[in-house]
Amino acid sequence: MKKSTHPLTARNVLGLTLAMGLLLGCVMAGSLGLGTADLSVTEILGRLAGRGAGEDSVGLILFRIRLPRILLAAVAGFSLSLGGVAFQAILRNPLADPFILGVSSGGAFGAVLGILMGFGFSVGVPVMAFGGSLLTLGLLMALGTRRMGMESATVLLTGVIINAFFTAVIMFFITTTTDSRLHSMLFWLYGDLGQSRYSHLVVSGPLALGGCAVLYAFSRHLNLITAGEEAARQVGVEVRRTKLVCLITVSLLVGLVVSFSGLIGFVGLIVPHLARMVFGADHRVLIPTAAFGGAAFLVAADTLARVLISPSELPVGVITAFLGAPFFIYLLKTRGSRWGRS
Amino acid sequence: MGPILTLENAGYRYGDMWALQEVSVEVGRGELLGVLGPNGSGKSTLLRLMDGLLSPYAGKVRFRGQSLEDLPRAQVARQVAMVSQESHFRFSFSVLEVVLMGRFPHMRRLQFEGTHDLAVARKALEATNALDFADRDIHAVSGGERQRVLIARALAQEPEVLLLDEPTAFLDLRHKREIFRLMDSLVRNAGLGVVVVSHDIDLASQYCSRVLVLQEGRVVESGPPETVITAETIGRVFDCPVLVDGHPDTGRPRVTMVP
Repeated sequence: MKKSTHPLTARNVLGLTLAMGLLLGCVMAGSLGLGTADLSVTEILGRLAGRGAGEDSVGLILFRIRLPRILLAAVAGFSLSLGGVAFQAILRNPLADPFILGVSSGGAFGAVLGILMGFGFSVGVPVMAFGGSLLTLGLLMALGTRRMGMESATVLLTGVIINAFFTAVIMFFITTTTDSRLHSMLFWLYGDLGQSRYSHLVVSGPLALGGCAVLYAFSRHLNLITAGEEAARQVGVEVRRTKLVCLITVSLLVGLVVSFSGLIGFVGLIVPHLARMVFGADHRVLIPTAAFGGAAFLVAADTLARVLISPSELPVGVITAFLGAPFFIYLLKTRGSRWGRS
Repeated sequence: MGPILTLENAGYRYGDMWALQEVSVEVGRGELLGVLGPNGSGKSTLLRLMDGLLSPYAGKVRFRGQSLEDLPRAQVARQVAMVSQESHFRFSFSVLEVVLMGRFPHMRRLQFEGTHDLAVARKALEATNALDFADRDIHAVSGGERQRVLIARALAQEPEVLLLDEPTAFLDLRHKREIFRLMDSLVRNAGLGVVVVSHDIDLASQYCSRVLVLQEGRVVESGPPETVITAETIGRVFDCPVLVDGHPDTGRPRVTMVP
């Protein structure tokens, strides 16, 4: 019964990351083939291989409509899932997630404010969203920090309140302005990936990967922080620096995602939890697998949003909330028992 | 051998309430120092100062002459390890994984535990008699086993000084004895300096080479158990009448409460 195997190696991590990357690739390929317009497999394959005229309807659907949307879903799922992993570790609470903590709605608030102030969508609005996320984070830290570290129940409750407040402020702005750039209320409140542009993706894609790398560099630090901040310091973790770097990275990612896709909840809750059940609680494997898993999950959810009531479509946040809310209740109910791998 | 960890007139306060004042202590290699005192007398604060988790408001805490607060945490963790009263693992890790976390201060950022780290962890698990359940989940072990796992993690840091905050709290007789015997062997065989905060005055008396008594944040007595653990001192500091006689086997002081 005594295993003398090594618990985790670089090879394990690489293998599992590639496996999750492959899963993401498959989901994206599947998603590319599904939609309101019925495209045959040969048509799609031919177009992907570069055959056929450039700007006919098939090419337009694939490369102007579906692909950017799929890529944005992947980037958003990737980032939100990382946000969940980081918040859950630092708050030592599996119920934490950028949406529940209000970091997402803080970002949306910043984005809406940016639009009203006339900023551009490529730089100004994302920067404002980042500022909004950071502001929320600052509020959470200020209100939730106790002498022995952050008290997670207080932080969660604070997050719920901040979330409600910012959502109300966003509603107020949207209903009282006639600015066409605040195109749809649903976009901000339930998330919508249909506004994807390649110009957004070249910014958010590399930043998401970079953010993942930063968090990964702190993965063993995060492992130790899950056992308590003072306990982590005892073993040699610079807790304050770790928290600062990880939380700022995560708010940047979340702010960015929110400014391009609105409020999409529960991805950061469901995916890290599932990844922990399957791959274990070690952040060296949890961070990459949850990130790619989150990307695959959101691409799948958005595909459902596109095809469920075709030719009309649902905001993707409806799908994630529909799956996420019962999941949250399930987690709440099993709280007090053990988390993660059994 | 000279002292390795020294407190010079160290003081710490929470708000404007002084928890410790003018405390001077030296911890040397091969020494088991017991810290006794009633609840709220500053014992845990003393250990936190010794591990550099708190910076003193007055005085200095030095490790081999260097002020602890100026050192990076990882460097401190390679020299001083601590086992706290509470440590809650929120997510599931195996016992071996928990002990391997003690290798953190010895590893570079993106490094994975190598065969040497694994060997150190196994040796630590062996020393604490915890190798048998190395694959179990940390949430699935008993209180006594868990305490041994946490000590093993501290040993995996390969420290020179080990600090333990009430390691025998909530343990039954056999496990209490095991923990004290383990500390004794670490001091004798590995030459560690060990500081243990304990409410088990009798066990401390049997095993410690020196004891320190704290009352309201000040050191009131310090020295070998024979001179410190007297009916007068214990009765006064703990505000509870006691009888002290010699242990039939060892002759060390033995405390009995007066009914």
